[in-house]
Amino acid sequence: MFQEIAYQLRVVWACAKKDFRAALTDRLFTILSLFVPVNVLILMSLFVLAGANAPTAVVMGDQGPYAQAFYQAMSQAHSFRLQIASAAEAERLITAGQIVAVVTIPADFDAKVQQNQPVQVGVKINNLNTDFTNDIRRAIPLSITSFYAKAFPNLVNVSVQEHDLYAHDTGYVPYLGVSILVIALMMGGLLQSGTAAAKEWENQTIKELLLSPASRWAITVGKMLGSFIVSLGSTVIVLLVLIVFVGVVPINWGEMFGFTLLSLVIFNTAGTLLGTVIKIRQPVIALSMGISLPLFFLSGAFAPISFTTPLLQVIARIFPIYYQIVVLQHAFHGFALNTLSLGGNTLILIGYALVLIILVTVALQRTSVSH
Amino acid sequence: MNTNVAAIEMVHLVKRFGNFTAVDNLSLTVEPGEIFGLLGPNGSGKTTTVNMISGLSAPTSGEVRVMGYALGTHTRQVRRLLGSVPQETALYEELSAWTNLDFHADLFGIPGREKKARIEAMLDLVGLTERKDSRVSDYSGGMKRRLALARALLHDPQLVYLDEPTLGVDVQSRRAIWDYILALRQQGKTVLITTNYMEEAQELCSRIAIIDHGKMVALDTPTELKQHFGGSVLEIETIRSFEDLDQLRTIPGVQAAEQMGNSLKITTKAGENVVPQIINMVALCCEIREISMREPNLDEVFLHLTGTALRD
Amino acid sequence: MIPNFLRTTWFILRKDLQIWLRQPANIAATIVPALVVLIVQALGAQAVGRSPVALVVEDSGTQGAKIAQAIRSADVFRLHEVDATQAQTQLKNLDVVAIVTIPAGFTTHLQAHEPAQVNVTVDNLNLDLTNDIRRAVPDAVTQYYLAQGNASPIKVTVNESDLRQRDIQLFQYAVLPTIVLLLLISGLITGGLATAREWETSTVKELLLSPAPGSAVIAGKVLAGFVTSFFLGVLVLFVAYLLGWIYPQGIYWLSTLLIVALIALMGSSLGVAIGAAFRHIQPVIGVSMFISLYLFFLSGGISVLAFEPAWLQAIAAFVPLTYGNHALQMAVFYNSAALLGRDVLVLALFSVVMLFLGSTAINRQSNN
Repeated sequence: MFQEIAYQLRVVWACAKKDFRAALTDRLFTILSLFVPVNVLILMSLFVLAGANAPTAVVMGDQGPYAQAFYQAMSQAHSFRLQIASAAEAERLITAGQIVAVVTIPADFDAKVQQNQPVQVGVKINNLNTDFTNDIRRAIPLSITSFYAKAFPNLVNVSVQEHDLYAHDTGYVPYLGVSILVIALMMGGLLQSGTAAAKEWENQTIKELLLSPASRWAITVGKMLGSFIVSLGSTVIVLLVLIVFVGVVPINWGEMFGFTLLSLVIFNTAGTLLGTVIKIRQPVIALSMGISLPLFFLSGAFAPISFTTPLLQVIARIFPIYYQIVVLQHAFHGFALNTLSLGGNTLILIGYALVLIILVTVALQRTSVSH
Repeated sequence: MNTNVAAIEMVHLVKRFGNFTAVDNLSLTVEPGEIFGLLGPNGSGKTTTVNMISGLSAPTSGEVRVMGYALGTHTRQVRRLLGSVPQETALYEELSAWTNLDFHADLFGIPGREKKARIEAMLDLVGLTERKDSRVSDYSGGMKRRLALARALLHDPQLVYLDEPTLGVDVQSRRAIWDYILALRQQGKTVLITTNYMEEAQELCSRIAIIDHGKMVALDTPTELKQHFGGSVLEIETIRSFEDLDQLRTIPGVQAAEQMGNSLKITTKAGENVVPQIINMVALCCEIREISMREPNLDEVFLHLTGTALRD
Repeated sequence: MIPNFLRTTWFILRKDLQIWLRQPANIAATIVPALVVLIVQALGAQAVGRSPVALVVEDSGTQGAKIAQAIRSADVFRLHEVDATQAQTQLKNLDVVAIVTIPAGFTTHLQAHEPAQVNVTVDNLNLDLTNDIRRAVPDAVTQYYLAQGNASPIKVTVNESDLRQRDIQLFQYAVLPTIVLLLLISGLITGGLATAREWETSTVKELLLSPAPGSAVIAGKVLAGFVTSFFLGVLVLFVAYLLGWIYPQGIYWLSTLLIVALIALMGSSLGVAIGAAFRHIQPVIGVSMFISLYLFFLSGGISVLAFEPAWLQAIAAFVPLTYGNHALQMAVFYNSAALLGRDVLVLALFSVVMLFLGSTAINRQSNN
C-alpha cells in the first residue's frame, strides 16, 4: 500500500513538473499570463477610482464669506472633486465629458442668505448614469445642510450624529482591491490551468496520460499542481503590487497567505476541469474572462451580499468566489462579511476544492479518446 | 511470462455508438510472442477495437483480456503491460526527448535508480542519443516515431501496440523501425500492429486479421491468405490492348482479369493450371511482348476481401 | 486584379465562417458570458444605491414623525422599521448597513429650540455605502426643512438641470460596455486564434501556395471575424432592446449598428494582425487577453470616463474604443449623432492600419 501511495505521489509530481516545464518553454504566454492578475488589479482599480468623487466645476458668482463657506461644505461632502471655473470653461468641460456637474453659486448668494431670502444654487448634471448622478443629487442638499449647520446653528437645529462601527473608514481602493485580487487570481488561474488541460487534448498528448497505469486523481492533482506553481508566480506579483504599491496591507498575514493559497487551489482545479471538459483552448480562454466578470458582480465584491437582493444572495452563495472574498477581506481588513465563522467559511472552501478535484477525476475517468 | 495465457483474447466483442455498430461480435486471440497485424479499410473498426484493448474505451458487450487480465476490472494492470505508439505519437513537442522519456518513466513507475540507465538504453536503441536534449518539435517525422517507440518500450511492456508505425517516414527510418519490431519478437514480446501498408504487414506479421464493417473477414498467416486468395498472378504485356477481357474470364480457373493499357493481369484460382490456355487466347489476339508469373500479394488479397470502393 | 482580390476574400471569408459554425463551444463561450453579465447587472440593479437601513423611531412627537417621514419619502434606503434591539441584531448580522435612530425627546428639543440629533450608527467597512448614508441622512434632514415651505429656515435650494433628457439606470448603462467587450473578445480571440491556427496546423501552406494575394487572405479572415463578432453583438443588442434596457430610435438604429460594425471590424482586424504576427496559439492567447483588458478598461470600461482622473481621460483619448463607447452612448441613450464623424473616422482608420499590418505579416511569411 505504501508503495502504491508513493507511486501515485510520484505521478503527481511528474505531471506537475512536466506542465511547469512546458509552461517555461512558452515564455511569452507564460510571462503574459503571469501578469494577467496584476493587470486586472490595476485596470479594475481604475474603474474603482471612478466610483469615488464626482469631478465638479464650481462657478463662484459670489466670492463672499457665505459663498466660500458653501464651497467648503461641498468639499467636505464626501462626494466631489471640486475645481473653480468660469461659466464658459465649466460649460466646455461638461460638454466635453471631462466633468460631470457644474454648480453655480449666484452673484447675490451672500446677500440673499444674509437677508434670509430664498436663493437658488444652479446644478447642471451630466446624468449619464443614475448611480453616480444620484450621489451628486444627494450631496448638494447635504452641503446645504452642513453649510447651514455651521453658518446658522441656531436656525438649523437638526444635525446628524454619526457613530462608526470601525475606528476608521476603509477607502474604495483598499476595500475593492481585495475583491479584485480574488477575481484577478481567478482569471489568471482559470486561464493557466484551463489552457494547460485543453492543450493536452488538442495535441493528443492526453493519450500518454490515459494509457498509463496512473490513477486519474493523481493525474488531476498533478496537472492542477503544475499550473498552481505558475499561478504562485502571478500571485506574488499581484500581492506585491497590492501591498507595496497600492498600500493595502493585511492585518493578518498568516490568514492572507493561507487563504490565497487555498483560492489558488480552487481556481487551478476549476480551470483544469474547464479544460478537461471543453478540450479546446479557444472557448476556455473566452470563458476564463467570461466567467470572471459576471462573478465579480455576483459575489459581494462591492459590499456584503446581505445588502443586496435575496435572489442575488442565493446565487452568490453557490460560488466559492463569495467565500473567498469574505475570508480575504477578513485577512486584510479584519471585516466579517457574513455570519459564518472564519472556520466555517474555510471549511466550505476546502469542500469546494475537494469537490472540484473529484469532478476532474470523474471527467477523466469517463472520458474516451475519439478517433 | 506465462506462455499458456493468450496475449490478447477478445470474446464476442461489440461496440456501438448509438445506432452505429463499430465492432460487431469480434472474437480473436493473439498468442504471446507473435507479431499480429490488424488490418482493415478506414472506418472498419480497428481503432475502436484497439481502444478497447488498451482500456480507453469500454465495450458495449463482450470481453477483452490482456495477458489474462480482464479489461474493466484490471485495467491498470493491463496498462502496465502495454506499451503504445499512437499514430499521432502523442509526444510533448515543446519538451526534449529526454524529458519526454523521463516523464514516461515516472508515469509508469520505473524505479528511480533504474530510470537513467533505461532512458539511455532506449535512446541508444533508436539512435537518438545525440539529440536527447533537443526539443521534439525540432525532430523529423521519422525521429518522432523512433522516440515514440523508445517511450513505449521504456517500461519493458509485454505487449506493444503500434498504430501505423511507419506512416510518413523515409525508407531508412522505416527499415530501422521494422528491425526494432522484429527484435521485439526475439525478446519474447507480443506486438500488435495496425497498418495500411500491406508490404509492412507482409514483412513483419506472423498472422493478420482483416476486419471490415466491424467484423472479421480473414485471419491467417500472410502466406496462407495469399494462397487462399488465388493460385498465381499472370502478368502479360502485349503490343496492343487485348479486346476481349470477358472471354478470358470465361476460362474455368480464372479468378479475375484486369487490363491497364497494354498490360493484362490475370489471377488464377489455386490448384488450377490454366496458364497455357490463357497465353494461347491472348496470343491469338495480339503479339505478346512479356510474360511474368508470381504469387498474389497482400494488397490484392485485401482488395479482394474488402472491395475497391473508397471508404470514409 | 480587383475581381480576383474580391473573389479570394470571399472564399477565405466563407471558409472561416464554415469553420466557425462548426464550433458551437466557441460561439457559446463568447456569447453566454456577455448575456450573463447583463442578467447579473439587471438583477443587482435594484440593490444599487439602496442600502438596507434600520429605522428606529423612539420619539413620539410630531417632529420626530416628520423627519421619519422625510427619511421614508427620500426612497433612498430599503428601510427596516424595527425597534432598537432588533436593529442592533440586524446590524450585527449584516442585514443592515446602518441604524438611523430618532431618539426620544427629539420633538421636545426642537420645540425648545435646542439642538436635536438624528443618530446614525454605520457599519463603515465599505466607503461607498458609508458615503451613501452620509449623504442620504442629511439630505433627508434638508427635505424635512424644505417641507416646511416658507417657514423653513433653509433658504438655499437647488435648481437642477440635466445635460441628458433622461436618466440612465446603471444596468442599462452597462449594456453598452458589455457589448463592446463581447465584440472585442470575439474579434481578438476568434480572429487571432483562427489566424494563428492556420500556421500551427500548417494549413497556411494551402493559402501561401495558392496564387491568392496575401492581403486578400487577411481581408477574408478579418471579414470572417467581423461577421461573427457583429452577429453576436447585434444579438445581444437585440436582446437588450427587447427587454427594454436600451432604446435607440429611428435613424439612430443605423448609427448604432454602424458603430457596432466598426468595433467588430476593429477587434477582428486587430486579432488577425496579432495572429499573423505571432503564428502560434499560446502567445496569441496571452497577447490578446492583455490587449483586450487594456483596451477595454482604458477606454472607460464599465465606469463613466468623466469620473476618472484627468490623466486617465488623457490616455483614453488615444484608445480607439473610447470613441466607439462614446458613439454608442450617444446613439443608444440620447438619440444623438454628436461627434459621430470623429468616432467613425478613428475606428475606421485603426481598422485600416491593422489590416495593413496583417497583410505585411503574411506577405513577409511568403517572401521568406
